[in-house]
Amino acid sequence: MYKRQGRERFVVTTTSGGASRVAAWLEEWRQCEWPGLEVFVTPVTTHWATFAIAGPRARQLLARFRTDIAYDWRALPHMSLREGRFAGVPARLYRVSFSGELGYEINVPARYGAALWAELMKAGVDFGVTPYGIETVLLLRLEKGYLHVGADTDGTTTPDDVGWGEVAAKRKGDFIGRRSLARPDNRREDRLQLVGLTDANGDALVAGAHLRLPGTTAGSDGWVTSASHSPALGKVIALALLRGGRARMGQRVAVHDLDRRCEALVVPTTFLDPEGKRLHA
Amino acid sequence: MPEPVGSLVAQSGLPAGGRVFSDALKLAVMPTRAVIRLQLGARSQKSAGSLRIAGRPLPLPINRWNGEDPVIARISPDTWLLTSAWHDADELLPAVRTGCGRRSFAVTDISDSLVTISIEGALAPALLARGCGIDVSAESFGNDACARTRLASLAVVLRRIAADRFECLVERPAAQWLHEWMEDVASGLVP
Repeated sequence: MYKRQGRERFVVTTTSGGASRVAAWLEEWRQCEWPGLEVFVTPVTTHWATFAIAGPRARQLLARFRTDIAYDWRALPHMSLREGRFAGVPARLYRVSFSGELGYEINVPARYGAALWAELMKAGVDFGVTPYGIETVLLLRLEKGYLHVGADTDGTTTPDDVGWGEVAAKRKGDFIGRRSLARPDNRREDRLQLVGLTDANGDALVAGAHLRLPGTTAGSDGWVTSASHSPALGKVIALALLRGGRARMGQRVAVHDLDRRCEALVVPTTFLDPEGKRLHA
Repeated sequence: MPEPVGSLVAQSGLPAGGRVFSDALKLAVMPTRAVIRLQLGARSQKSAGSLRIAGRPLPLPINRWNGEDPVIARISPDTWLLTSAWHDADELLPAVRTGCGRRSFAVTDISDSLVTISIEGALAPALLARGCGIDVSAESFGNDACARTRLASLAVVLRRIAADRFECLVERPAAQWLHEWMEDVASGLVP
């Protein structure tokens, strides 16, 4: 995620554990390909403690802290950032969500991380606050159809394969990957494309299961990249890379996992709150 | 409605004070209030010799340091690290920006990123040799030497302060582990 802090200053946040690799990658481009650019890359991951505060009552929890940062929906809409002081210390407050709920991420200098965590837990008692872990956030993002890079994609996946083709097409000028996007093989209609799958029972609908289209008797037409039972929806949901998937909405595909087999319905990738009402609350 | 939370208490999560194993080896987590990373663009590096931070010149040779507070260490061709036990980053940042003037530069407060561990005593080089690939003998790594290197497989900045005293800057999340590693090695070095 890229966040613009000023005219010439950006913060890049990466998937967990990827920060060092991405910083090294940026350095490589800066030093080897564009040494003339007056650009500086500074890893700051360990300088900040970061907390995600997600859920319909997230804003009420923030109100329990003294801050000069305006964070109502008008001042801090989705995908925006403000800096200031929070609970008496320097802070960055992001409006961002990987859960699909109203969400904020707050950064404070790392030395205040333990104290802020304790205060959030204490102040959040009135709102039923609870820590949530990776399994939970992976289910929540799956319900929203937010892809998990490296799980729902691999090195061959293009932006168009995951439904971001129009976003990439709007970019003007040159950029890393532009040539690849124009290759005929990357523009085929029958490429593996990200879709949603669902099934009421779905015991074979697990990550790694292979998909077969009607009429296919050998080989694979794609695979399930993420899957889970959704308590909110009362059924198994999944994301999958399916051959020509976007043109197959409403069709059924066979799902094979070892000796188990089921059928699943091809649906859009957003299972819950497709209008984004929760996100933009 | 409860009173809004208006202040947080800083916590290092690290062992307070130091540990004396013998006169020949002491470990201590040092108070560090500010760590600032200064990067100069390629053209500005050429004029780094005329740059002053609070009246003090930048060290020009790579892997050398100077100053008392702040200490200024050149840790790569384009990067200097300023550390201070007495001044907050908010005090130092304006001095750095003023010193850099119209040069192409970036200055970043990373005070919470790094923790300083002091290793002192005649056995300090022996402790470092157990987990560091560079030669820290006085001939190779003198009193004004510093280096980005690895210690116990962790990325660190190592600085020699005196014949028998070193400081090691390590990323905060790994500091506790490195300190315990040092204690473990020290217990094997000191009878």
